[in-house]
Amino acid sequence: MASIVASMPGRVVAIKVKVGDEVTQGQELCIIEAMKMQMPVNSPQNSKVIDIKVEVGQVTRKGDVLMELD
Amino acid sequence: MLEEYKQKREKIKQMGGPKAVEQQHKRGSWTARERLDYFFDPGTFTEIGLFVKHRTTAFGMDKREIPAEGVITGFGRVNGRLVMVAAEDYTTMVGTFGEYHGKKFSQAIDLAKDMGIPFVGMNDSGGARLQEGMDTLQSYAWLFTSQILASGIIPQIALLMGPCLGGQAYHPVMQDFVFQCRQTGRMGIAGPAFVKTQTGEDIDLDTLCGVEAHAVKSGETHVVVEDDQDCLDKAKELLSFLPANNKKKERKLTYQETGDDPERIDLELDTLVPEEPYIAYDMHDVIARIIDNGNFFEILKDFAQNVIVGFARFGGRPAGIVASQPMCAAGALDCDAADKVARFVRFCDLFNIPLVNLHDVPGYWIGSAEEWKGILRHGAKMLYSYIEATVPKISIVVRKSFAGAYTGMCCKDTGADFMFAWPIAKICIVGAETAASVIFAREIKEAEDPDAMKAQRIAEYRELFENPYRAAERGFIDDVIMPSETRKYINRSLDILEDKTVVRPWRKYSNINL
Repeated sequence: MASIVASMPGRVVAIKVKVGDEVTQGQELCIIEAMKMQMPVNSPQNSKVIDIKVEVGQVTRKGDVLMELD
Repeated sequence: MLEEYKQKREKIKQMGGPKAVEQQHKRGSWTARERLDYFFDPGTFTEIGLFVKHRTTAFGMDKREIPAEGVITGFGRVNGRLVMVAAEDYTTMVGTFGEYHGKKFSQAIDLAKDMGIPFVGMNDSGGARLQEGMDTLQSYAWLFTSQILASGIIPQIALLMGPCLGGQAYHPVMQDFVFQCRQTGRMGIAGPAFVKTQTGEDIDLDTLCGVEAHAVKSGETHVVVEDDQDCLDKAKELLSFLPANNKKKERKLTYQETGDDPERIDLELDTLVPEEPYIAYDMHDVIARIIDNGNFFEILKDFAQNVIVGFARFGGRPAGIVASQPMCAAGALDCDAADKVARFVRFCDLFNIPLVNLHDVPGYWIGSAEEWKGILRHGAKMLYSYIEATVPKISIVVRKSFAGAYTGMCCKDTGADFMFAWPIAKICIVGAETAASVIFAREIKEAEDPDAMKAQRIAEYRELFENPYRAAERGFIDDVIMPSETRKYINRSLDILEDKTVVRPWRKYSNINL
C-alpha cells in the first residue's frame, strides 16, 4: 500500500486514472494547480489504484492523501 | 633518548590500540589517521599537539591514557593548498570531548583564521567527557567562540563521519557546510536515550539524527555522502571552488584547463523550457547547459527543493548559482527556500564568489501555513542578503518572475548588476488573471457577459505587461537574449564585473530578520 500525498497546497485540476487501473512507475496520476503552476503527481511505483480520495476542483492541503495505491 | 622519542610518538599514533581500530573498521569507518592520510597530499601533513594530555584526576582519569586527547590537529596540503584540520579519534575513549580535546580543536581554528586557510573538522565522538565536569563545558564555549570569530574569514567545513550528539553538535551546524556520512554520521542536540527520559518520546538514533532527519527535514546537512572516502573526496571538491580566506578571490581557471568555450552557444536551450508558464520542467537541465562542463556541486539538494543552490564555474570562474525549480512546489519561495537561498548568498558574498540567479518564480508562497510560519520574515532574508551582497550578481529571467519574488530572487533594483530575460519571459507585478480580476472587478461583475469581459481584460493585461519587452523598455532588464546565448552573456558580464568594488558607510551590521 502506498498513499499518494499532495506535495503542495492547491486545487486538483485533473485526475488521470480511475479505481482499478494498473499504473506504472512515473505515470501521471493527477494534476494539482497552485501558484500558476500545474504540478503532475506521478506514481512512485508499478501498482494498482485502489482508492481515489479527491475529485476535480477539490482544494487540498500539503500532505493530504490524494490516492491509495496497492 | 632517540629510542624514547620514537616509542612515545609511535605509541600515540597507535590511537586506541588494535582492538579499537578493528572495531572502527567494522563500523565501516576509517580511523582518524587513515582519514588524514587520504585527505592530504601525500607527506604534507604536519601534526600539532601530539603530546597534549588532559589533566583530570577524578574517577581514575589520572591513570587513563588518551592518545593525542582523542583529536588529531594539524595542517597539510589539499591539491597543493593549505588546509587546517581537527579529526576526532573514536578509537580513543570514543573520541570524547574534554577540556584539552576542545582546546586543541579551538586552537586549530584560531590558527586557521589567523593564517587565512580553510578549516575542516572531522566529527566522530561519543560526546562530552563528563568526568571533567564544567571544564568540558568551558571548552565547548572556547570552540564555539573560535569558530564564530573565524566565520566569514575562512571557509569552515564539518564532516560528520561518526556521531556528534549533544551541545557539541552546535559545532558542525555553525560551520559553513555540513557533510554527513549516510551510515555513520549522526548529529543531534540529544540522543534517543535522553529524549526518552526527558520527554517520553520513543525514537531510534537513525530516525532522530540520520541523513533523512537533517538533509531532508531540518536542512542542516548540506551534502550527503556514502562513506568516509566519498566524504573526503566531496570535501576536496567543494574546497576547489573556495578561496582560502575572505581577502582572496578563487583563481579563474584558464580555457586550457576547463576546455569549455566561455562563448559556447547551446541551441538545445532555445526549446528546452516549455513556453506555457504552468508546465513544470527540471531547472537542473538548464544549469547543466550553461556552466563549465556541466559540473555542478549542489548544496542542500534534498531540502527545500523548490530552489536549487550550488557551485559551478563560468569560463573558469567559480560562481554560486541560485535557481528556481518549477518542478517542485511550483518553484515558489517558502520559508525553507528563503533560508536556503539567504545563507548561500551570504556565504558567496563573504568569500568573493559571484552569483548567478535563474528566475522562474511565481511568487512567495501564500496561505495560512506559510503566513504563520513567517514567510515575511523568512522571505526578508533573501532581500537582505542580495541587497547587501557586494559581489557581482547576474540574474536571468528564464520564464517568469512575478511579484515579491522578482525582488527576492535579485532584480536590478535589489542588486543585480545585469539582468537578462529570455523571449518567453513574463516579468510582471502579478499574473494577468489576478491583475485583471482586481483592476476590473466592478466592470466584469456588471458586464452583460462577465466571463467574456474577464477574458478580454486578462488578454489586454497579458498583452501589455506579461512579456519581457515592457520590462526592457523601462530598463528593468538589460536585454532580451536567446536562451542559447545565456552562457555567453553570463561570461561577458562576469568579465566586466571582475573588479567591481562597492563602498558603503560604516555600520556594525544590519538588523537582518534572523
